Amino acid sequence: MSDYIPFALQGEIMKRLPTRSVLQFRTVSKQWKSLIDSSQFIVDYSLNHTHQQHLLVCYTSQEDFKEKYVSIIDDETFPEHKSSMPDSIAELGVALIMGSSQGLFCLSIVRQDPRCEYASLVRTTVIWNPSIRKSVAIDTPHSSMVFGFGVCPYTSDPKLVKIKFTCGKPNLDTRSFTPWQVEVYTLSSGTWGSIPTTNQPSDSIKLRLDQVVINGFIYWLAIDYINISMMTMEFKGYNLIVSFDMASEKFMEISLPDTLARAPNSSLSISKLKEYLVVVEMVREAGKRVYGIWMMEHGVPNSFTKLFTINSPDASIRAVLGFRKNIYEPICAMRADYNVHSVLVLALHSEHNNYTLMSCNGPSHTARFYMESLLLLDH
Amino acid sequence: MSFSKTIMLRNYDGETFVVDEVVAVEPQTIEHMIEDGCANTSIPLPNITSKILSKVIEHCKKHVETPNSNEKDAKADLKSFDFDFVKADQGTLFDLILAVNYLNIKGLLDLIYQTIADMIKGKTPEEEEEMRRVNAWVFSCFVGVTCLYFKSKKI
Repeated sequence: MSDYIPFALQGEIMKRLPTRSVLQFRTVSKQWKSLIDSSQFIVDYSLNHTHQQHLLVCYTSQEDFKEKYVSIIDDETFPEHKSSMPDSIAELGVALIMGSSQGLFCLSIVRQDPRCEYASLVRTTVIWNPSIRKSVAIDTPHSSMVFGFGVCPYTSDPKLVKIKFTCGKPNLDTRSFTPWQVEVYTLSSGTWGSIPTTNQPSDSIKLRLDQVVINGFIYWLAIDYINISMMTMEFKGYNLIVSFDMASEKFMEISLPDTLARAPNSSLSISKLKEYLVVVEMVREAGKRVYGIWMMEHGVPNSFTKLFTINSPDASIRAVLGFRKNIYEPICAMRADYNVHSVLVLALHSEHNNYTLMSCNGPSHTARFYMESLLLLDH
Repeated sequence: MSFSKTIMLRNYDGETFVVDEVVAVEPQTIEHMIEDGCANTSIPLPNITSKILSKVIEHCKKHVETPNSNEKDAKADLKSFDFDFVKADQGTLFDLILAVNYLNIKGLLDLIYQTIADMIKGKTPEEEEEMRRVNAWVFSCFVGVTCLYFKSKKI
């Protein structure tokens, strides 16, 4: 009979525990601390898919117009634990979630520049791990927007993609576009580097901020401004999806089915379910809302199919934010009445009732699933 | 009736176990030994007791015999087998870990790791007290040290 488990096997067991326990174990002995802080352990832990899924919901409080974050464990009973932003971030300004990948969130914070007399905004980009409550601020020197965030699956290295779009107006009627200027940042190097302009989408394409990360690819909703007439303001552009392969650093254009391509851009939103990209199209008609759910299999561009629609005759469903374990459990932002907001999991095609995840005193605009990870622990 | 090759395993207590080859190669260690030609008479496993070895063989047998289909019944059957399999006492589980790690049976190893992780996760103070009373010497192992430590720190 043995009285102990070898140290290496203890590590294997620890990889399957929640971050809270792992952080506690870190303080037990120097041996365990050096094991847990080792990059191999951090990477293995973050790649383990048996961890409990959490849901981070973000809403704008109507009291103080500040962003509030709530982290909910995706369990049958959905126990809640408030995940608060570290103070260092919270006091910087209004933080918006731009993207998430492997348990990390990328926040874009805009605030008033204290050094300037006139109104001038300063943008800071922060990478945040809510499981271990650690954050890293990234130096983004220029004003060009950071559009993409993801963790490269092979190197477990967080990457940021910054793009500068420019367009000129040679005459009143047309616009001319110049190639994108793209820079990529990796946390390991701590620097921004440009990438060759060869593998970029057309100059007339502009990305929206909505993005999801699936299997090492960043996907954005985008709009192609080709054929936009300035005189008549007639818009002949169309919507599409743009993807970025974090390993090879190449972009790709993915066309949408006709209905989606021609829909008003603001009526579309993207989210994901496991390996699938989901596009939600909202159609407003006479006081009611209808949401069309479309799905594309990652890596198979012409597999876009419309699965079903969600009807909201009283328009109480204000947004479809994401999906739980399967496509028939959408997470929706609800507005029952003026100032009565909540986040719900609809139970379509199931004998269960709709489940209210939480009530909030403002509209929720983001709900992203994440798995606990230890990334950034060694930073 | 088809002739199936059997392998003899000789363990720590000197006992021999005769198993079908297809079951015996579930553990990668044994598979490699057979490939390397070390299995002429019997395979020695001096660091594993009879009790543990028979449990391991039982698990390998069940997984080999169950058809590898996506049928709900087959999967549910395996799941409930695994569930009962790990209902052993802590001492057996810890011995199993060492044996299965040596034998290199990935599926079973994952199962045991997950079981122990689940044990560490959800312990109320009453359950810890119970564990401490009943299995004092087992509790002094890995799980016990940490639970006691954190209980005393009231984390």
